[in-house]
Amino acid sequence: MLLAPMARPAALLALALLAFPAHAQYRLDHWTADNGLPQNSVREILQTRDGYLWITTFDGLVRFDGVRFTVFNRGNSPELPSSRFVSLFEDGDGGLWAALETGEVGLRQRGRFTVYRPPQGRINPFLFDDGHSRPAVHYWRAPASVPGLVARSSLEAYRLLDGRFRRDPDLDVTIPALALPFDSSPDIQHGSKVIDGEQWTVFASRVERRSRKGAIRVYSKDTGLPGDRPTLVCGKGGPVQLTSVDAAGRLWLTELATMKSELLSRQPPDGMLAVGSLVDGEGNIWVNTVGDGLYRARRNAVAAFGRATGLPFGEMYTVLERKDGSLWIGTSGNGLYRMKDGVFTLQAGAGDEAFVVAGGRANNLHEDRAGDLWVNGYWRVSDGRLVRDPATVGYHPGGGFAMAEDGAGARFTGTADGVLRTQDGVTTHLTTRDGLAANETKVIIEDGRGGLWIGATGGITHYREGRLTAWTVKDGVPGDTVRALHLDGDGALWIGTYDSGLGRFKDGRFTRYTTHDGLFDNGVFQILDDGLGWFWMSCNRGIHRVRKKELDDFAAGRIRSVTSYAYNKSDGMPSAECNGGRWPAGVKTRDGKLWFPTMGGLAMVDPRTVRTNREPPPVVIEAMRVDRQSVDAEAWENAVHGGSGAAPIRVDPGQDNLEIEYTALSFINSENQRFRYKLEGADRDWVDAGTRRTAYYSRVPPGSYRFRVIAANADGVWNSTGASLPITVIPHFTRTWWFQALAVLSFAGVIAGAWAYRVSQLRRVQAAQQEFARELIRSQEHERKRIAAELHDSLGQNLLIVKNRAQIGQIAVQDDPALVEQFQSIASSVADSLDEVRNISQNLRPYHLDRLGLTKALEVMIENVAKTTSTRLRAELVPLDDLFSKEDAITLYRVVQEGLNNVVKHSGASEAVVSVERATDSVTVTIRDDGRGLPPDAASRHHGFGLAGMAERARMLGAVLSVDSAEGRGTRVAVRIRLPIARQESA
Amino acid sequence: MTDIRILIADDHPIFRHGLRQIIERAPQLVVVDEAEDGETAWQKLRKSDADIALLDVELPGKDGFELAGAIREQRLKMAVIFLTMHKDEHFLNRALDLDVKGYVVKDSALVEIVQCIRAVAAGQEYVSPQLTGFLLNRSRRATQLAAAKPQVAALTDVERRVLKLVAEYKSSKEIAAELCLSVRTIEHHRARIGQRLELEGHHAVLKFALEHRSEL
Repeated sequence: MLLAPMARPAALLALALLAFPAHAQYRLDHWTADNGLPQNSVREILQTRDGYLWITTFDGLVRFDGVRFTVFNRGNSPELPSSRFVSLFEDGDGGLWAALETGEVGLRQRGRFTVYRPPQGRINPFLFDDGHSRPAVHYWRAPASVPGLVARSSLEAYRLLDGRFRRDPDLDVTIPALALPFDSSPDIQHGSKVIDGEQWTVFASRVERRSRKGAIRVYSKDTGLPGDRPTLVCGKGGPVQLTSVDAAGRLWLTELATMKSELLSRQPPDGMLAVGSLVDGEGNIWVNTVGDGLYRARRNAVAAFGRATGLPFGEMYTVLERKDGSLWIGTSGNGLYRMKDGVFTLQAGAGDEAFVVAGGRANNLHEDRAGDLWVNGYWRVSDGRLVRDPATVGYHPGGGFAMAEDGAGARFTGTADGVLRTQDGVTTHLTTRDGLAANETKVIIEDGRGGLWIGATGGITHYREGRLTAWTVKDGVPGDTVRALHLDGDGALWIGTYDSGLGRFKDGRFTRYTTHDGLFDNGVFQILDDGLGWFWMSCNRGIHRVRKKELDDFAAGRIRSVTSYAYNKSDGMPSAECNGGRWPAGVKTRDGKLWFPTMGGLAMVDPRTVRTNREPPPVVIEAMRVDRQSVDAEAWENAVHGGSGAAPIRVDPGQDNLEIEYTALSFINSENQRFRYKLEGADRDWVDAGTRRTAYYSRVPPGSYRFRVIAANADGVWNSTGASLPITVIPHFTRTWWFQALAVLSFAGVIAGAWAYRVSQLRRVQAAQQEFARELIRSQEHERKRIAAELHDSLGQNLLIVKNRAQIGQIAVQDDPALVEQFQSIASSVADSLDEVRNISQNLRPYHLDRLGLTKALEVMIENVAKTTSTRLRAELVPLDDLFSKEDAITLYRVVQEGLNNVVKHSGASEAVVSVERATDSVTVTIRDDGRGLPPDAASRHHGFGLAGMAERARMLGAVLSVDSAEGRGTRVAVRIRLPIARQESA
Repeated sequence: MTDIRILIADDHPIFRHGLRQIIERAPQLVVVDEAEDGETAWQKLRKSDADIALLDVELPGKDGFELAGAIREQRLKMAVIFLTMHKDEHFLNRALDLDVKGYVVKDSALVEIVQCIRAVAAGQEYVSPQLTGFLLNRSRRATQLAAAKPQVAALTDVERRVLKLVAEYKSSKEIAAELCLSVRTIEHHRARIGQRLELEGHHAVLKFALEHRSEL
């Protein structure tokens, strides 16, 4: 029976309580160190006018194109004093300014930084606009004395004038209540920025905005913010929104202009939110955090109803809008509901006979011309009850899947066994015997002229005034599994199938569209025309739309493929899996919204708010490598920024492999941007690169070329101007006239010359390989050292501060044993982490080497290895300090380390001796053991046992590795290093 | 009582500021200057009248060891306190060899530092409690050495200083320069040390000095 609204108040109440809590209609993408971000703490973020996003981290200044992060730090820009960037500014000429934690300000120009030193003792800079689109900088000025935990403090201003940062007290600002680094206060001040003359100060629970004239406006919970921990979201002209986190931990976005708030995310980022976030030129909101990476929030195209709004189930099968505007939803196993404003109200339980016969499912909803609602074909809603129409008794017991009325007012019910035609209480049963294409009926629609179209598993049938005409796959129906029919305004019939694509039937001709033709999926469970020129279809992978004009053009042969846009869970769908084969499998309501039933609830699209991104994306050529070497910076700048008269990149003879990296700067589904490129002068046509962002060419013949690349944003809008780069390939000398003349004159000479050339080339190749191996070792050491230093300087120091704070806290709360214990446990876990950091950085870079010298470092290493092995280790070392450069010292250290490793791991020796001997002109390092010795070929070929690495390192020292071993008689590995004359011992 | 004047050298700004605040909250402790790298620290120390130099061992440029060595060599009057991230026995020993008076691990620097400064200013020595195990090792080895080579006690002061400098890998020439003696005298002392300690062989004195560097 149907439930009258008052009959089951308990159920109603429960559902009402669950209904429609604020749910986020935003999609969040997250970048951390695990997926490409160089560091999880992002201090500031800025979009420059060329379209790139720039972020500051303690590991460098980072450029982001939506897919790739490019880092600029001391590793590749040695002119920088450190890599710890904090603040950013773009000046009126497009110059990018970035400030370091230690106060220096760098201008990035033509790939390099010009560094301005800070005034004595000034740190923690904030960059801002001095009012003339030139950079100015505020330095945090510590109070000279400490009257209490909280003090007023000031930001001291400097502005760039005549190439120097000069003091300008007019731009100073005062910050109230500045907390000290090691104290905490409930009102801790998170930062202050001056934007367009206004000072924005962010506190733990409010934002103060001070105008030029000194008027103060406060944004807080009292004035309409939904939560605490506010951050500014800045657009091009300053803050436009605020984020905040409410008591339930949800992240909100509030428009400054209207103070309207909406939920950004149910879960806030893990880390501290930075003071300022960004809304980019395309409306994406970028939330940068200290510790939890970078987030991008974008409003979802699709809204979800069902589980997302608190319903305990999600499987929905059919959806119908009635003439009174109410929305009715048939579920699987949960009965029939009405929905209004996201609130679902149960109308009939799954226990009703109407559902029981269909296995609990609502397979069909239909409202007839009289305004009566029909459920599963045989049941009519009457006075709040589901009443079986007696005229259906005796037919297929599973109920109906589809229903429609013809011009004569007869009701047609599609069942698994043919169609029932009922008029004036009399039912006629139509089957394939009467001319139906198939019996298993899935959909029936009106043809607009008093007739009907009937879709079934096996084909389609047209019915009019008792006449049946059928078409099957043989006639051109796209597939047997017909699921949906749609009649457009031009009289074309559209046929959706479960797995065979979309069909169009007009003027007796079928057209079929599949994934080969650009359709997103071959499943088409429902076809809705949004009235704005698009067909929206559902399938097991989401919903997809195609421009109707493209479908018509394809049918007319004017185009060869169509473009689909697809939406799935990441766009907000409750589940990507849509349901079909029941009718209606989706509906366009009179307010223009489209509703699709899915396995997770209802998916709703408002096609008027779904925007195609019409902005062609800026295209940039980022880098070029010739035979894996980056093009010289000077030449690169001249080629890229030289305009039409740009000097081409020169490729010398013998340089075979060209790699060119390019990108496009749209941040909406950046990874779906597409590229085409061509080397004008070599390629005839554009090369379709898909989403690939590198072009490869090899063995380009001599000549002048122009590399061009164009890109389309994720919605397929092309920037067909793109970017270009001139390239000249210099002819090889064998191609010049004089060489050929020479060849004619002296054939034999050429043979000899070629032979000599070949030999020298082979030598060069060999030398290059060795140089490469050495370079690899060097850069590995350099990298290890850098990581060790970073660990020590950034993570280590932060942990130290935490530990110290915990200890201070412990003292401060000594009267409260529970708190003391808390602090103690924090201190001790931090101590463990610190030990780990120390261990890792020691393994990466033995700090003894840098502090105590090579001899001591070797001693410590041998001592430490001795602790882990049963082999007795002895060291006979003479002083070595100051004999070697730092680089050589670490190389020698690694030789000994690898040698000892071999002994411990492979030799099985009972004793080993490391000795360092010094002669006047050389130093010899020997590692000998009494173990089982090396197999004969290992010693000669230096293969395995780490010998190759040792040999390469020895070569880096200008030394030779000698290995002396016999099976069963131990091994002796020696490295004799000749000293430069200057370092040879005076007698 | 007069103020205790302190110079802080640490390259990490936040840590340095924290340290400064803690110190300045204590009565009679005054931070007179700061430096964030070894070179700057050295320029300031040379001209400074600070009583105490608080040095991070891992300073960029000149590190703490170099600075402490330079302070000793130039006979500057300030006492040196080391701050370090490393709980390392070898570091501690080298520091004590360089006449460093206070040795504080950064783990608990803010809690210990005031106590350490007061102790050092009062002429005492201070080592973070976490590291006292290493101190025990050091004195244990000294005792063992005294037992194994009782002759060490018989060395003259000059011989002992020579031996210490040998342990720092200094050549006879360098030792001579440092002690304002002739090379020949130093060679003579080295030979005498060998005899007294009954050491034989070319590098025997050096080896002995190295092995017992921390106990001499």
